[in-house]
Amino acid sequence: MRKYLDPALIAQLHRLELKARLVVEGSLSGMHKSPYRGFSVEFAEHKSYFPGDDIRYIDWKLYGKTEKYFIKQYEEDTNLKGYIVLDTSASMGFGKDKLSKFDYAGKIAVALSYLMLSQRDSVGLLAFNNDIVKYVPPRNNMIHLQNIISVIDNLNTRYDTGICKAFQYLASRIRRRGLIVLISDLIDDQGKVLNYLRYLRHMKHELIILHVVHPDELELPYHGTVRFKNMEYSDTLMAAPDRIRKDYQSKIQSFIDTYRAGCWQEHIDYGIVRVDEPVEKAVLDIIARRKKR
Amino acid sequence: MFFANLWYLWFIPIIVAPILLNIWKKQRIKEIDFPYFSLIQASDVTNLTALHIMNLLLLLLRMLLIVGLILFMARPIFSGFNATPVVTEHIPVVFIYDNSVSMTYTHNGTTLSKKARIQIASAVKALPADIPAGLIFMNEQGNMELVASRSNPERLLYALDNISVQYYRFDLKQALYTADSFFRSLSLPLKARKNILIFTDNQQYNASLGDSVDLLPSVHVTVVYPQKMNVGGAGWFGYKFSDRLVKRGEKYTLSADVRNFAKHSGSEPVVRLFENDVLIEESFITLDREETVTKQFYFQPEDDISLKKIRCALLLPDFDIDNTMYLVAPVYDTPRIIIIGALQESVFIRAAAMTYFSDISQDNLLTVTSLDKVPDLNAGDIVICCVDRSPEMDKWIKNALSNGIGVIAFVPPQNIMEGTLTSIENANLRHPIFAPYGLAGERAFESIHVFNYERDTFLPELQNRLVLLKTAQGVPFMEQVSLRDGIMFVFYDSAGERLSNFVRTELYVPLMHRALDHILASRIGLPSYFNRTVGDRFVITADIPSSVTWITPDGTRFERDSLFIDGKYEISGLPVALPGYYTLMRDGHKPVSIAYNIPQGEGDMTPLDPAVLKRLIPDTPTAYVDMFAGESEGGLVRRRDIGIQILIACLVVCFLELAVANRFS
Repeated sequence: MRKYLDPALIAQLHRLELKARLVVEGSLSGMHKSPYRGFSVEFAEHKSYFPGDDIRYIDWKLYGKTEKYFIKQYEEDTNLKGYIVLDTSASMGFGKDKLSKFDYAGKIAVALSYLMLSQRDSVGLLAFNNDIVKYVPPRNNMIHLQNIISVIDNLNTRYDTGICKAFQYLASRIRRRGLIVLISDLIDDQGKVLNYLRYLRHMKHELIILHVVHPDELELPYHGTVRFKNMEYSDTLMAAPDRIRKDYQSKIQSFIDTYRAGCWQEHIDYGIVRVDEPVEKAVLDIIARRKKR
Repeated sequence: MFFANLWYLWFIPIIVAPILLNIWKKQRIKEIDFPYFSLIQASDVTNLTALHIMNLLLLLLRMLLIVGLILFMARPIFSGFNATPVVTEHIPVVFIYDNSVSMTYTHNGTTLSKKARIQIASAVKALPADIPAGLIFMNEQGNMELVASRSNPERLLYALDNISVQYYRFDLKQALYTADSFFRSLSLPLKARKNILIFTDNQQYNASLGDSVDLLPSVHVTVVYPQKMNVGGAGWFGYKFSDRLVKRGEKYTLSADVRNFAKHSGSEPVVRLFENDVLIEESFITLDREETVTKQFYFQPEDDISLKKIRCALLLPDFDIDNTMYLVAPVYDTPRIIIIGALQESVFIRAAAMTYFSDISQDNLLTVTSLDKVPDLNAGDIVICCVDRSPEMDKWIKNALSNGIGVIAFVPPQNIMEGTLTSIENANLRHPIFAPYGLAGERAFESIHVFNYERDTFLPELQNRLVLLKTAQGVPFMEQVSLRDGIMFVFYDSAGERLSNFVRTELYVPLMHRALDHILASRIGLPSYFNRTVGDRFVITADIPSSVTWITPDGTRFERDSLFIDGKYEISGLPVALPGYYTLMRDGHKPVSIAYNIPQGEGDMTPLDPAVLKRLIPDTPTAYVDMFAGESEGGLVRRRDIGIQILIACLVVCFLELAVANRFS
């Protein structure tokens, strides 16, 4: 566990809370707005009393004025069901010599899980590559964190990326609106991925896309003649990085910008996380971004 | 092809360096598993095949660069025989190098001998080491010398560097025999081909001499000679100086004969006379082809010049040769010539006398009509007699001869057959007065035509006589008769135009002149060898020398001994590489110094006619190559130093390499 959550990070996370920006549906009261009206602190409206309603919530003052029974309704705080969708495709293994994208993504997943669990939200995990690798249904107790960590710990990066398949799988499992956090390098068919993101948004899910990138992917800092190997297929390509760097950088920037624009249109929270930055900074950035809204 | 700096080729293995570098670089190529492969692919990447080709090209360029630089340092020189069908590089070959004087003729800015040397050297260098080769040239004695190589052609090059010009006629026939002997000594199969390359200017004279040469049937001959010289045949000016000084008063005369051997008349030789290295006089001479001019120097020396070196030089504008001739001349006084009879009006005798004695004057040349008007004669006078035969005349001439008077007598024969002409067909060419006609032979006298006459003998009681010229019928026309110290030349002619055309031929004046000269030379005790003709030997008929010293211009002395052969004393094998003079020691006589001229044998310079040469080697396949054909136009030997081209190619390759490398990286 220490691999994913060191005490300093835990201390920082304690002071934070991950709020769902949109209303979510949950079975326990928590810190997130629930679409269900119930009996809570914040008054929402009155409704006529019907037999079977809890008489504890009858507004007696209103009864004194109108001599009719009304039930006080409050906006209920409900708990969040969060789904960490973790990319375990081969491309996530990039950067093994220092910290691979997958390691980094795992840490973020654990940190977010811990954050959500600590605020009594449920959190689940879906690991995928070109297929579903592992699905852990959401739970809201801290013991569940150990479960998630152990699952992440046993994951390997391989095969190509199937983000759409993961979304499809998730959409079929989630009945209630929830928070979906995709941690991936997004190496997939951009059009399809954006379409699925739209679809999930249409289903009222809240989405956070954490685009994990390695600085080498952004900068292409190689020299001389390099044989590039496709991490997800068996292609190779000889190239002189010095000659193609500018072109490549503009292409990857365009790739990122496409995702950023697509997400912005759908009110999806999109953020780049660089593996050379501390995990806590990445998590803090996510939370900070969300607080602004 | 050969390399000027062969050892640089040891660097050739460096060529593997770029290959190793390439392999090392290939192994060093980073392999990176990259996630955004599609983005890399979509970037402007040179495709893999092009990259491989570029890589290969780079490798080739680097190898080329190394090879080019090594070749540049090694300096390859392409040489070899040209497409002449009879010559190839892998056949035993003998080079015959004509190192006679005429090869020093300058043409196209170089002498024929230099050109020949360059071509021989190139050809030798082009020969594989194991091919037998020989070089034949003329040594200092005028004999053919062979330098042979069976496995080391460098020997030939060394020998070639040390061959000097020799003042002899090059004996091609002897050279061919020598080459043939060399081939026979190789024990090669009879049918194995052999080459002879002859480098010469012409061999007309040799080719026209005697029998043909039978070479081995497998021998092929290539003659390399100047084909396109625009002078109507290469030629040169032969020259000789008179072998005595004639003293009159305080002054001396010396004549120089200069002959243009079939050369164009454009350039003018300069004859110079030096005394103690001081130029006394010089004269420009213009000569037409085949013309001989006698130039007389008339000078007053500082002191007694007998036995002193006088240096004469003929500067030939077209020849690269030191023509300096050192001369020690004996001195005698100008003689008095008395002409008796019908010749008194003849200007020819005067001309003949003046040709030799430039200082001749009325006092020295007397003319009288009859014997009774002849003044008292002195020893040393010369009489030219042309009066009708009579007992008085016979007596008078015998008396004069016995008193040492020189006589030239024109005696009409007794029985003349007018109407039938004959010619002179027999000449005693060994006689000194015929020395100038040695080359032409008896043909020199073919212009003389006389009426037939019966054999006649003037003063038959005199036994010491020598027939010099005979008619076609074997009847004497000219005789030399000696009595004690007197010498008489008898012409069976009237000295007019009645019996023959002799006095109108071009031979008349020179013959008279040489007759006068011979009488004078005989009188002062000079032996007959003074009238030298060729340079390799001289013969002493009368005197018995105790020793002969050959002294070269630098003062080196060579003692020579005379050998008694066939009743004559002959001194042979003389070192004649340079002109010089002899000191002849005779018992009871003062030492006599004799100048030794450059022989005039060389000089028959009419262009080489393949048809004539063919007569010399009729059964041998012979090809002819122009010595001065451009190297790229079919000269015998091609020799191209391509160092500059290689360097330029290296620079181009270097530039390409940089360009490709830059693009590649």
